[in-house]
Amino acid sequence: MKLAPIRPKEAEAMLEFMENRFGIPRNAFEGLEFMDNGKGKIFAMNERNAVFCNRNNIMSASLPFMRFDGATKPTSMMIQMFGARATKGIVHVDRNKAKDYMAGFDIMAKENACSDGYVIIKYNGFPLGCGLLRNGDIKNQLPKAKRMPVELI
Amino acid sequence: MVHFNIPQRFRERYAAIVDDPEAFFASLSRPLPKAFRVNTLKADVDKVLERLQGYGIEAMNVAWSDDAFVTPSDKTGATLEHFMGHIYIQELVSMLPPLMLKEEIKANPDMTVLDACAAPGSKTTQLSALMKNRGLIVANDAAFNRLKIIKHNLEKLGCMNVAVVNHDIRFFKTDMQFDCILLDAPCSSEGTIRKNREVLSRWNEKEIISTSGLQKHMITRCYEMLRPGGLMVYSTCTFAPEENEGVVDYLLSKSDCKLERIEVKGLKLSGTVKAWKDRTFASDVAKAARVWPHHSDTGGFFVAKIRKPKEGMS
Repeated sequence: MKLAPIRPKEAEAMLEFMENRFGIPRNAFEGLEFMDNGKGKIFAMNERNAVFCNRNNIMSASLPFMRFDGATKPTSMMIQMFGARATKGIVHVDRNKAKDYMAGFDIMAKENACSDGYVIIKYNGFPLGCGLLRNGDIKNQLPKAKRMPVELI
Repeated sequence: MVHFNIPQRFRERYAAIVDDPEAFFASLSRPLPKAFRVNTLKADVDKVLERLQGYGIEAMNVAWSDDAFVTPSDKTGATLEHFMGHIYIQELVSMLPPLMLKEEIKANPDMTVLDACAAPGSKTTQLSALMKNRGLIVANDAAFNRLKIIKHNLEKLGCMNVAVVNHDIRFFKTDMQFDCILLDAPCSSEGTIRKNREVLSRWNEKEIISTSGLQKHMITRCYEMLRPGGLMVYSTCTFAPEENEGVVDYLLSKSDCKLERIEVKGLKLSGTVKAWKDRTFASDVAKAARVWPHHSDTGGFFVAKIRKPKEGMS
C-alpha cells in the first residue's frame, strides 16, 4: 500500500475532534504528518517517513492514529502516546478495572464519568487505551494483539 | 563436568578458537539472564525503575548502556510497563548493533537507515528510540509472516519514523542510498543456544556453509545500497567463522570497504578468528568483534562496522 497525505480540511476536523473531545492541544501533534491508507485509517508519522510512505509500496506504518471514515475513533496506541495531555473524555479506573481492561474485557464506568462516545481509559496517570462508553458500559477497544494479562500494576 | 548433548563436531570446531573451551561449553547449558530495555520514546528510565522497584522487581543497569537492564525477575512481562510499551524484553547482545550507530545519529539525527532483516523489530524499535523518532528507518524483512510482529512492536513502542517493507534484500530494487545499514543476518543461531536448545539438535555444518553463501549475497547487495561515507553494521548471533569473519573478509576482497574498530565501554569484547580451515582472513577483519557467552554471561554474537569510503577517498 501507499499512504496519501490527508486533506487540510480533514486534518483540521481531526485536530478539532482531539481538542473538543479530549482537550488535547494541537501543539501535542507538532511536527507530525497525517497519512491516509485509502480505507479511512489515519497514521501519524514524521515528515521523512510520510514522504517515503507516499512514494513507496509499504507493508505497514506506525503510528495508527485514528479511524476517520464517518466514524471518528482514536486508536489505543495514539492514546498511549498522547493521552497524558488529555483533560477530558477520560474515565479513571481502579486497579481491578484496569487489569480487566488490559486483559481485553469490557468494563463498567462510574456514574457520570463523561458523555457517551470514545473515551480514554486512565489508571494512576497512565492512559491505557480507548474504550467506547454507552449508557455506563465501556466496550473495550484495545486491539486483540495488544491485550494481555497484567499482574503487576 | 557433564554437558548436555553438544555434538562432537561442534565441540571440535569451537574448542579450536575459544579461549577457555570448558567454560564456553559449560556456559551453553546455563539459562540466559533476563534483560530488558526502557523504551525512551514513551517512558523515562528513572520513573520506570522506580515503579518496577515498587513491584519488587530488581533491575541492574548494564555498564555499557543507560537504557539496558538485567533482572532476576521473570515477572517483567506481566507488568503495566510492559503493556504500555515502556519496557521491551530483549537479549543484551541483541542491543549491540543499534548502539554502533550512536555517533552517526549524533552527527546526523535525520539520517536514513535500512534495517535489512528487521523481524521481530527489537533492533528497529531500539534504533527508533536512539533516533528519537527523527529521520527514517526502512525496516525490511523477507518473511511475510514475520511482518506482523514488526508492526505490533512499532505500534506498541510508539515508533513514528519507521516504514515496513517486504523484500528479499538480495534483490531489493531501490534508487535510495542509505546513510547507515543494519544487516543482522539470518544465521545458524549458535549464539542463542542458551535460550533455545533446539538449535543444537538441528545443528549441522552444511547449513553453516549454505547460510554463509546467503550472507555474502546479502552483504554485497547491502553494501551497494550504502551511500559513500556511510556505515553498515553486520552482525550475527552465531559462532561459525564462515558466517562472521568469512563474510566480512569476502566483502573486503570484493569492494573498497574499510572496517572500523569496535569499542563498547564496559563490555568485554573478544578478538576475531584470524584463520579458519585453509583460509587466513584479511588483517582488517580483526577490527570486528566477538562476544562469547562465558565472558559476560550473555548470548554469543559477532559484530562488524563497515565503512564505505567517500568518493575519491578509496
